[in-house]
Amino acid sequence: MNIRRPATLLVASALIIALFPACLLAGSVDIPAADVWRALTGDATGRPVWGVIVRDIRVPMAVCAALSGMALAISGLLMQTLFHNPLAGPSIMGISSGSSLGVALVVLAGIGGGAAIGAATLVGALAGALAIMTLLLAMSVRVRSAAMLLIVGVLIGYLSSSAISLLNFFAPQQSVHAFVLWGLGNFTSVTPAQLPLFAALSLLFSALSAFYIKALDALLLGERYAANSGVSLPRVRRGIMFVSGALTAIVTAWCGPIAFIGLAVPHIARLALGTSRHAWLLPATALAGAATGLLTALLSVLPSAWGILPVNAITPLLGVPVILYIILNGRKIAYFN
Amino acid sequence: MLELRNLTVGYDGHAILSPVDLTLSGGIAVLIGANGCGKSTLLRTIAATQLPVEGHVIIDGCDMHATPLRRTARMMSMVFTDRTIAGDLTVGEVAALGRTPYTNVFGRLGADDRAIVSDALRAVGIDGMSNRKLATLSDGERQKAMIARALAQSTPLIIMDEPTSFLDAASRIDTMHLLRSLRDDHGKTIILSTHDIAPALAVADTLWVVDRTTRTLVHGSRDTVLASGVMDRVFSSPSVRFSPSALDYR
Repeated sequence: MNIRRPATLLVASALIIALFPACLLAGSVDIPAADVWRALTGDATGRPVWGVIVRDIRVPMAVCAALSGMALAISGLLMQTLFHNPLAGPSIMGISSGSSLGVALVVLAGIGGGAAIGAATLVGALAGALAIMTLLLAMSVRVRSAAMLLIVGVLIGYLSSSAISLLNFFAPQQSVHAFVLWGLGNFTSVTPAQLPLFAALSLLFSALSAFYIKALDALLLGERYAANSGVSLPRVRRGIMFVSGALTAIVTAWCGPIAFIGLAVPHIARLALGTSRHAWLLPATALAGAATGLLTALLSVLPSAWGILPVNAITPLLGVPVILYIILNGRKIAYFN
Repeated sequence: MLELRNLTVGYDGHAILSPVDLTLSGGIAVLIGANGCGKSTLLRTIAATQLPVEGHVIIDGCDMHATPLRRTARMMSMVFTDRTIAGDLTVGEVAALGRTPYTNVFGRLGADDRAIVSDALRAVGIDGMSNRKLATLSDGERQKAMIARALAQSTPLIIMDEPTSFLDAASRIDTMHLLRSLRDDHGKTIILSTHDIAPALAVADTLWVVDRTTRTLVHGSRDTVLASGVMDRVFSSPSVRFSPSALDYR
């Protein structure tokens, strides 16, 4: 067996194991490791406020970051394979913008109850993501070129942004403030009470993606070969787009439209593994996505005294170099040729 | 084994060829005709990826357009004209994708599947390249990998839509020899659409010629169709004259 493949999964797992406690230790309040452990184990001998910080703020943030990274990375991988386009991803192809528009309709226009992040924003984000995915799918029938389809996605993203700007213009100031903060991206907006729902939804849809491993592999040779292999293209397209859109929507509803994780992480996983076979690529992407989410969360709290950096200020720093490397070395990278 | 019953192919209810009735019980059928005459439409309809305007495609008693896709995938495999970009899969992994109709939801290969894939690679003569990335192969070797994928699909019928169009002359002839071996050594029935008339006629048992002027498919044994004069009608022009005697390619 090729040693690179299990080694990649081990390294990604080791990164998660290292980064998760680091996220619990880092923050504006210095809490000794022993007290973090006490807070986690429910030992009441530590300072009560430290227990609250660890259990109610840092643990939900770390779990949210790991699951968001995993969900976005899987979503990006599904889109890259489905559209046969290495530059596809939830942020580039307008899916995040569609989710944002759905959330804007709830938060800014007050449809479905108003400003709080909850069930209505989740439904809004999901509806927005699926609407854009459906539109892209319909366009993909007529627009055969992957590059042109990417441009269509970017244009759809602009249209969503335009609609969001209009909603912003007419919305009350308080709603605009809440929406702008949400749009910067953060992993702290999942409350301890919401965490089980967030975790259940992101894990459920991540797990569902595993049922498309065979179809995704068949799609690597193109849609005609996939159809000849017995893959029902309409059913598989609908299923993959629903799972991919749902993963993006779940994260976007709570954490804002987070860029670059979905685009860059599948490439990191492919380069590390040396294969596009999804039985390896899907778990590697999921683990690398979780590790990237945790790394982003850790970097976001490093300024400590100045507060928490917006996630979208960090993800381009991690993602853009990867994408530039991919573009500049396309001829040497086997999966482009 | 393959039966076309009153098969009318076309788009949106409009026929582009007159109804076809024929039976193909084995060997290599070579489909030829000018560009845009409906060859690919006919192949897509036979392969059940396009609905017929009318009529039926029957393989071993099953109507292809009323059979679940997973089952049709066990009856016919395809090789397309394009230069396949297959991610960074190895030749062995590409051939293994031929087992897709037989594997579980995660595409896991059993011991039997692995043996079939190895046999397919050996039959095509690229078993020594199993661990090489498809991206590192020449165009001819790539197309052999796609033929190995089709062979690993274990179907009685293989449909090839202009599989040699981007290959150099040596690879084109090499591919024709390979098709002959698939017919003779593996008992495959092959439908080959091609513009490489000379090497294809050298391996053809049956000829299907699309006559665009009459919108008919002329079919029959190689020698009968050659003698019928249809080739002259389809391929000759004031400056070009089709000559069967020039096809001494065996």
